[in-house]
Amino acid sequence: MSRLIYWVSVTFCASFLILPLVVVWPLAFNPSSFLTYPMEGFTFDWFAKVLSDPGWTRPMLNSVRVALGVTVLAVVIGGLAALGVMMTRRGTQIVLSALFVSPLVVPSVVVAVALAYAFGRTGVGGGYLSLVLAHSIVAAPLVFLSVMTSLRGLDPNLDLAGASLGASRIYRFFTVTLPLTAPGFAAGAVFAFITSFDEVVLALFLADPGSSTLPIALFAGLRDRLEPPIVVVAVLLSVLSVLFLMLLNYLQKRHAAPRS
Amino acid sequence: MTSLEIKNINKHYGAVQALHDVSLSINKGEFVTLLGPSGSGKTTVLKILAGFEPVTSGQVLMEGRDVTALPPEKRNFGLVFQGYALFPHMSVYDNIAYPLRVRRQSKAMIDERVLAALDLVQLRKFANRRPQELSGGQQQRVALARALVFKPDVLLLDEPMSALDKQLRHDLQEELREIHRSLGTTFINVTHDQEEAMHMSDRIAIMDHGQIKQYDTAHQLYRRPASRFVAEFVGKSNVFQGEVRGSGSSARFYSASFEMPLADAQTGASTVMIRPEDAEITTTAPNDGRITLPVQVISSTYSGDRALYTLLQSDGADFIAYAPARSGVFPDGTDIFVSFASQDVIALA
Amino acid sequence: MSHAKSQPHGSRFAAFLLLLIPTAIFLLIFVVPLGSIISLSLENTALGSRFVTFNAAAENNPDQRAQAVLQDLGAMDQKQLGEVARMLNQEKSGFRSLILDTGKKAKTIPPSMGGLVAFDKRWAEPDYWEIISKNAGAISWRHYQKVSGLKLDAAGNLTIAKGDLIFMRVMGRTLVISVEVTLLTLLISYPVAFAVARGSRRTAATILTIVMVSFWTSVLVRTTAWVVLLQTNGLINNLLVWLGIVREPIQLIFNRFGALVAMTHVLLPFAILPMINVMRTIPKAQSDASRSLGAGPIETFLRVYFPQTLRGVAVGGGTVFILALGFYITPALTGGPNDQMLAYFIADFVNKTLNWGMAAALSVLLLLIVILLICLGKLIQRMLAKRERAI
Ligand SMILES: Nc1ncnc2c1ncn2[C@@H]1O[C@H](COP(=O)(O)OP(=O)(O)O)[C@@H](O)[C@H]1O
Ligand SMILES: [Mg+2]
Repeated sequence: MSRLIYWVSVTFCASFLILPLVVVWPLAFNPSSFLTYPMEGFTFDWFAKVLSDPGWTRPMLNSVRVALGVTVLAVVIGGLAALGVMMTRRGTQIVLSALFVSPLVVPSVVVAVALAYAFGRTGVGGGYLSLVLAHSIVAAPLVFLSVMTSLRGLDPNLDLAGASLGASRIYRFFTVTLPLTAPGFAAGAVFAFITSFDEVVLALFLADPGSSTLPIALFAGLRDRLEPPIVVVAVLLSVLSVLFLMLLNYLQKRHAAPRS
Repeated sequence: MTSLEIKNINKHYGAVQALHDVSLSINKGEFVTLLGPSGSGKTTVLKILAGFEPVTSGQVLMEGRDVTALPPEKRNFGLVFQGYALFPHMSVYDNIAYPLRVRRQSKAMIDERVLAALDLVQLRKFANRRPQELSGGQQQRVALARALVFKPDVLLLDEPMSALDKQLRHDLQEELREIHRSLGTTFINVTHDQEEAMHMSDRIAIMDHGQIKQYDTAHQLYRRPASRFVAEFVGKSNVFQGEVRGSGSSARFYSASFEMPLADAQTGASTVMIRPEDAEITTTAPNDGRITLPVQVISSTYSGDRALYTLLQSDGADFIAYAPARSGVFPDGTDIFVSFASQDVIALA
Repeated sequence: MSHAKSQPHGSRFAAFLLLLIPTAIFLLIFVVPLGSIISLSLENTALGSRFVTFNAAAENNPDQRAQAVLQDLGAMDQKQLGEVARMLNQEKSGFRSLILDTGKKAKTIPPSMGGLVAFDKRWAEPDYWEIISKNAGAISWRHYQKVSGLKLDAAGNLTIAKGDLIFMRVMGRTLVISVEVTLLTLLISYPVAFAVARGSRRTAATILTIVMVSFWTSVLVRTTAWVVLLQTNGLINNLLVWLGIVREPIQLIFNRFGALVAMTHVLLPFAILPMINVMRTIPKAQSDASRSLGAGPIETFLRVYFPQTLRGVAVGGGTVFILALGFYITPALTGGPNDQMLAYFIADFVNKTLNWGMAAALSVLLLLIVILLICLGKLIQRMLAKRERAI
C-alpha cells in the first residue's frame, strides 16, 4: 500500500518535471509546421532554416558575445570578491557575503528598471556593454558562491605549509590556492556563461536592436506566432544546457578527487 | 649554546588566554619536546614559533635576533603539520621540491637535494606518486622530507605521530631520532604521548593550562618532578598529602599512615610521592626500618616479567606497585604489606 | 608591544586590495541604481521645475497665485505645456484642456484671480488649485498614491479613491498566484525529493538527473514547451480529444491554469534541491528504529520522518514564493490579461508609456515585499535554531 503511494506519486511528479521537455523536442524534427503529433516524418529542414536565417543567427552570435564577456567579468568580480571575503573576519564576511549574493534575490524586473534608468542617464545606453554589465551583476554572485565553496573546502594548513616552506603570499596563491580551487572558478565560469546565455528580462530592457540576444528573439517569436523554428531554438538551448551540466559534473568530480 | 629563545610570551584569543608568560631556551641541535594534555597550549607555542600567530606580548629570539614580527616565509623554520598538509595536486617529488623552487635553486641542485631527502626517508621509489596514494606513515615521512630539504634552522613537529598506529609510531620514533642525530638540526616536537617524549627528547617542557610547569631532561622530570601535576603526568605515582612539622634537619613529614624525616632541601613540602617500582611487596612486615603499610590486593595486571598491583590502603586510598612475578601473582583480596625506603620518597613543592 | 598589532600575519591589506574592485562594481552598478529608483519614484522635476513662480507665491493670496500660474504657463513651450497637461490630467480629468487653453492665452489673460475665472470658470474650483500645489513640489508621493489607491483629501485625511485600487488588486493577485504556485510546487517537490534522498541508488540517480536537467534548462525554454503543449491545437488538447474526454479543444493557456502550470514547472527545482539537502541529513536508522518499535511505514513516515523534513519544506517554499513574486516572463507568455503579476506592469510602464516614476514606485513596492519576506525568513530560522539549541 505504502509502496504503491510512493511509486505513483514519484512517477507522476518526476514525469511532470521531464515529460514536457521530452515530448516537445521531437517536434523540431517534424516536417509539418503544426506543432503536434503524430509526426509526419523526420527532417533537419527546420534546423537548416534556423541556422541560415539571420533573424536567428544574429541574436545567437550576440548571445555568445555577451555571454563570453559576462563570463570573464563575472569570474573576475566574483572570484576577487570570494578571495577577499575569505580573508576578512567573521562579521565582515557576513555583511560582504550578503552584498555579493544580493542580486540573486532581487527580482530581475527591478534590477532591469534600475539599470535601464541608470545606464540611460549615465550615457552607457543600451547595447552590448550594458548587457554585459547587467548580466555580470547577476552572474557574479554565482561565481562568488562557487569559489567560496571551494575555498571553504580548502585545508587552511596547506597555505600555512606553503608559508613555512618559504613561499610568499603571491607565490602561494598561484601554486597552492589557485590550482586547488580552479574547479570552483571553472564551475563559476560555467554558471556565469549559461546564466547570461539564458537571461531574458534584463536583455529585454537593455538590448538595442543591434545587440538583441537569442532569448529575446525566442520571446518575441513566442508572442508573435508559434512555429517550428521556435522549438528548434529551444532544442538548441536545451542541448547547450545539458552539455554545460555535464561539464559541471565533470568539474565537481575532479574537485572531489584530490581529497579522497 | 642557546639558539632559539622564547621570552615571556603571553597569548590571548579574544577572552581566552592560551599562554601565560611562557619562556623557553633551546640549544643548537637539541631535541626538545613540548608535552602536555590536549588544550594545554602546545600548538599555540608552535604556531608562534612558526610565525602563524602574533603574540599578545613577549619575544621570540633566533640566535639573539628578534624574529617575533617576522612572517613565516622569512623564518627558515621547517614545520611538520599534525595532518601533514601535503599538497594534494603535486607529486611527492614536487612537494619536496617546493621549498627549493621557492628559493630559486637550479634544476640540478633541486634534483640532487630532493633525491637525497627521499633517500633519507627511504621513499625514493614513490617520487612520482600523489600524497593521497601513500599510507599514513609514508605521508608523514614525505612531510618530514619536505620540511628538512631546505636545511631549516629549526624543525617544528606538531604531533607528527598522532595519526599512526603503535608499531609504526615506534619505528618512526627511531627513524626520527636517527635523522636528528645525523643532521644536527634543532628539533622541537609537540606531543601528548609521554612515552614518545621520554624516548626521543634531550629535554622536555611540560605544559598545562598555557604554562610551562617544568623544563628538564626526562630523568630529572621522572626523579625530581617539581609539582604534583608533573609527577602524575610523567609516569605512575603514589601521592601522599600530609603536613611538615619542625624545620631544618629535624623537619619531619606526617601523613595519615606514616611519618618520615625530610632532607634539608625538601623542607616545606606537604605532598610527597613514591614511584611504583620503588615499593616492595611482602607477605610479612619487613621490620628493617623501611616505611611499611598494610594493604589488600584489589587487582593486578601481569606482563610476564612483572606485575602491576593496585592495592587498597587502610585509609581507603589506592597504592600502585610493581613486583617481580616469577613465582606467580598474589590473588585479589590477599592481605599483604608494601614497603619503601624514605630516601626514595620524592617531596613535591 | 607595538609590533603586535602591525604583524604581517594580518591579511587585512591584501583583503582590502582584493575587495576594492568587486565592491566598487557592486556599489556602482547594483546598489546605487537600486537606490536611485527610490528617488526616481519620488522625483517630480517634470512638474516641479515648471512651476517655480507658483511655488514661491503666497498660498493665501489668490491674485498672486493666479499671476504666478499665468507666468509659469506662459513660459512653457508647446511640448512642455503638453507634458504638464498630461501629468495633471492623470490627477483630475479635464485638467488637460484647462491647462492647454489657459497656456495658449496666458499672455492675454489679466493676471488676477478674477481674470482667470473670467477666462475659464473652472479656475474658481479650489480642487484644481489643490492639485497644482500638491504636484508642483520637488518630490511627490503621487506615484505611491496611485499604487496604493490612497489619497490625502483637503483635510489631510487618507481616503480610498474610488476605482483607483488597480495596483492593490494586482498586488493581491500577485500574492495569490505566488501562494498557489508555492503550494503546488511543494506538493510535487516532496515525492521527488524523497525519492532522491531515500530511493534505491538507481532511482535516486535517475531522478536527480531529471531534476538537474530541468534546473539547467532555461526558464524561457521550459515555458516554450508548455506553450507548445497547452495551445488550442496542441498536444494535450489533441490527446484529450483523441481519448474522447472532451469533444472539442478546451482553453488551457492564456488563463490562470496555464500560468500556474508553467510557473510551477519552472520553479520546481528551487523547492526540490533544498528539500533533498535536508532529507539527506536524516539518518535512515531512525525510520528503521521506528519500524522496529512497531510503527507501520505510514505512521513512521508521518511521525518520525515528515516533521524533520519541514525545515527543507520551509526553505524550498520560501525560495519559491520569493522568486514567484517577481515573475514576469512565464505568466506573460502563458497567462491571460487577468493573470499578469506586478512585474508585468512594471515592464509595461517602462516599455509602453515610458512612465519611469510608476515603474519605479511599483519596483520599490516589490522590492520591499521581497526584503520583508527574507528578513522574516531569517528571523524564523534564527528562532528555530535557538529553540533547537535550548533543547
Ligand atoms: N584560534 C583559536 N581561537 C580561540 N582559542 C584558541 C584558538 N586556538 C587555540 N585556542 C585555545 O587555546 C588553548 C590552547 O590550544 P592549543 O595550543 O591548540 O592546545 P594543544 O595543542 O596543547 O592541544 C585551548 O584552550 C584552545 O581552546
Ligand atoms: Mg594541538
